[in-house]
Amino acid sequence: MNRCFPLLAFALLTLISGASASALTSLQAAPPLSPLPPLPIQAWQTAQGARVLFMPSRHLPMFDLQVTFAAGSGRNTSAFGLAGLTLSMLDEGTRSHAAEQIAEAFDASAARFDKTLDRERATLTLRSLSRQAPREAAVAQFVELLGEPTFPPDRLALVQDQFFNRLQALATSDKYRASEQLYHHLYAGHPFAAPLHGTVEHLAGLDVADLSDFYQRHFSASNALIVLVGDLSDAQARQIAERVSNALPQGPAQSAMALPTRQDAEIYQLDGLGNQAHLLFGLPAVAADDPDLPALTVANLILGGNVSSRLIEQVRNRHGLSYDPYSELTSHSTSGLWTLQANVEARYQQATMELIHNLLETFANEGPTEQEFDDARQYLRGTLLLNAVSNEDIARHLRDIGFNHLPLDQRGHLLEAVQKLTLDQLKVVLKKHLVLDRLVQVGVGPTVAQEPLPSPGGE
Amino acid sequence: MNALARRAAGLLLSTICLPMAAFAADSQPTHEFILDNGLKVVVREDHRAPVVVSQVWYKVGSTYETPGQTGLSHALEHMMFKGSGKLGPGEASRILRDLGAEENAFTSDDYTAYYQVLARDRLPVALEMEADRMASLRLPADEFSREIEVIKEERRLRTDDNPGSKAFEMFRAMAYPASGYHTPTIGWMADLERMKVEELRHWYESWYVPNNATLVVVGDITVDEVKGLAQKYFAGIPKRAVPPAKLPLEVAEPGQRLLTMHVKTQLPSVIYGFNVPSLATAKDPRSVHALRLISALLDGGYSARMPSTLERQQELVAGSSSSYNPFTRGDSLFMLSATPNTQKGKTLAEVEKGFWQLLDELKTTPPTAEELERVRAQVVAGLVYDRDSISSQATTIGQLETVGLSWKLIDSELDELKSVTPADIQKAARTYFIRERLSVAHVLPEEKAHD
Repeated sequence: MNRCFPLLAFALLTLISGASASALTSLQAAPPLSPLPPLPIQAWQTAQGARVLFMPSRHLPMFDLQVTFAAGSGRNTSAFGLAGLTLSMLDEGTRSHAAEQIAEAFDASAARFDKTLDRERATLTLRSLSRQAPREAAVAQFVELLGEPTFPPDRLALVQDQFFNRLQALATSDKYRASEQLYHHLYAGHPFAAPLHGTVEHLAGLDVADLSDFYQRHFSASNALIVLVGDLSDAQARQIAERVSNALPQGPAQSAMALPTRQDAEIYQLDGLGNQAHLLFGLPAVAADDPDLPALTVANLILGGNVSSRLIEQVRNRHGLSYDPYSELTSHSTSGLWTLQANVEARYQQATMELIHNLLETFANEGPTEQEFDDARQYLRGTLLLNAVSNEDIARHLRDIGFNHLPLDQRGHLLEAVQKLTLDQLKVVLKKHLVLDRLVQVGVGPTVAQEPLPSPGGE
Repeated sequence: MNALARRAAGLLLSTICLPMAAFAADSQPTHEFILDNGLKVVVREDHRAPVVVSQVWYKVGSTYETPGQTGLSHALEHMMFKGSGKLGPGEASRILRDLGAEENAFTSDDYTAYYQVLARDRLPVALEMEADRMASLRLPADEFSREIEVIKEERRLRTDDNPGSKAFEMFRAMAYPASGYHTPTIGWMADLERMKVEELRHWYESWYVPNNATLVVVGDITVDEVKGLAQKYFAGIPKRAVPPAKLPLEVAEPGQRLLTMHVKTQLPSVIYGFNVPSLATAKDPRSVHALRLISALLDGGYSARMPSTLERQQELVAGSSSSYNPFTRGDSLFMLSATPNTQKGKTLAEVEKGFWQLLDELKTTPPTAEELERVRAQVVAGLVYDRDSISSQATTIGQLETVGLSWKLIDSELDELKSVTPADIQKAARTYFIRERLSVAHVLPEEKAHD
């Protein structure tokens, strides 16, 4: 879900050919890449039906525990904001402790507790020292709020206010508004069209009974994925997973998320508050387990997913229009989307949208060059190695493969698929998904007179 | 660039900026050595995965710049990717990409740093590239004319079109009347408009020398391996004198200052900043450690005083934070900021009253042993958690070295923090939280401008 290439500080090649012609002596001496070792992941299911993924890592005296439920904003179609509000209220009071005591318990054991929501998932995370005393205290508090939240009404009013404040702030976020508009269109008639953080009207109408009911149905053991990474023995990991699983309500797993229906192309122009225009382009793409995903992953790297992508070269380096244009693939469990974004001066909005549209058209028709194809595959190989060093990154990876029922050696599978891939196969996949008569374009910006692109190469 | 983002985020995030711990140091040995040309090298072993991070830090940033030439350090950072002796414009980035490496750079008030994260056996490539651009940057004029447009666009994106950053830029300009910290790292737009590539060449030749740099390598590597490579690639770069760099010192008690700004936001906010010393400038380091613990008492966790009192008990604010960076080259600021809870009709004046209640309480009532223990426990755990990332380990070392402190500081850190007493906290609060040291910004929605 996260972008791989944030805040690029640099601009890049105008055009350089011949990779092997480098003057660097170290490059000629570089050995071939060593193989990618599989991560030592263990997987099992608890008696209550929760799935567990565990990777021991004994280097640092700490561990991460994440519990993820299919309880994102796409599960609250009749009450926008209910999923987020329920998640936010879990640590506001339990049968044994008030909110203030819960906060103090986590702080006293030096644990870090957090909650995150996306359209599909609600996740609670705990990071703690692995020494017995803080571990026991932190896990006990975590298990308690997962298992016996009371949703106290006075706290509900407070948290509702927090949500209203946040919605007020988000109303001025071009990025949030563009993203919501895109989901609203691409997922019309689908649960994902529900606004991620709800609406004032819906949130104001929710009461404790609504939250309890949502909790009972969605935060069940059979609907849970437990991820553990860090300094734990197998026995400790199993014991923590059992405690979490035992505490949760019993109930059936949620059904799979529906498939979106096909939507037509559209262009939206929203009024923005700033002097820049935020541009967001989106297309339907593929689910996390789709066989086309490896090819699209390579295609995305070439289009706008790394530091010398076509998007960076054209929009940033050639025309100096935008600091950080990029594209990314987002894969949910049953569907996905492909997005491109850029911020530009408002006077160049129209011209930039045309530039990007042309770039997409060329890419769809011709596909990447042989060189781009080889480079992107090598790059992907390297990032797979780098993204599995810290416990935090590994936990995120485990959550993705667990939630989407991917193979434990997903990295190895992806690498193998990418190595087997031919350029012709990639072009076929690209033509299938990069279909411009389904392209949705969202521009958020002020209304100003439009100008042609500045000439390449600066003044 | 990350540093720019980090500074803006300081408004929202609480920071108890602490380096990594000394404990378990036996499993992660750290070494340092200096080449004959003055390049300092620090190596920290972390053998979790066959990966290393390499960072080159230069002692130059926006506090070194003069009026009319703001933004030079940051613009030079951009141009470091536009070619050097052995590398064409963008070629290094392309090569690193093909090796599956991550790279980037960041500029701040006190430093400019470049980094690569890559497979351990690719480290020589990163070092050869860094040595090449330390010694022979090209700075082509045509590349500069395009890149300065990207930099201006970056400024519009991050500052001019971002109400929070825009307000914070003006706040800092007011809160630091005497030192270079009033200069925004990205530079004022008027200075970007008239920047010349010749100025960058002069800046580069002045500061980019081995004796003004620190190489930090953290990861699956030994000190002997790094010694050989550093010698091979960097030893040939000659030493050269750098201009004198004076610590950015502030007026201790400049008097209370107030800024009122109307920006494109829907929610008002208030920012407080007290002029205080840093670890590098304090006569009494104990007062700095006391300020660090005060920041943690106020905002070190969900049970800390700001979220507990202001957010939950009084329902006064929608969000609040405190921050204090003790690891700066010159004097620092102790900051508070908050957005009033407009759902409950709270005003900025009420939020300020709430701030002063918290600050006065620190002066009059010593924290309980239990609360202080809770705060220390979090700080100590934070030292462990920070070691999860090899990049943040390297950044901590590089930052300490570059602001004139030693990475070895981390060995004494825990003891220093443990020795802070409740009386020290009261004394620091009484000394520093006074109106003569205070800058206030009221950041208001635009429509209120006509009230």
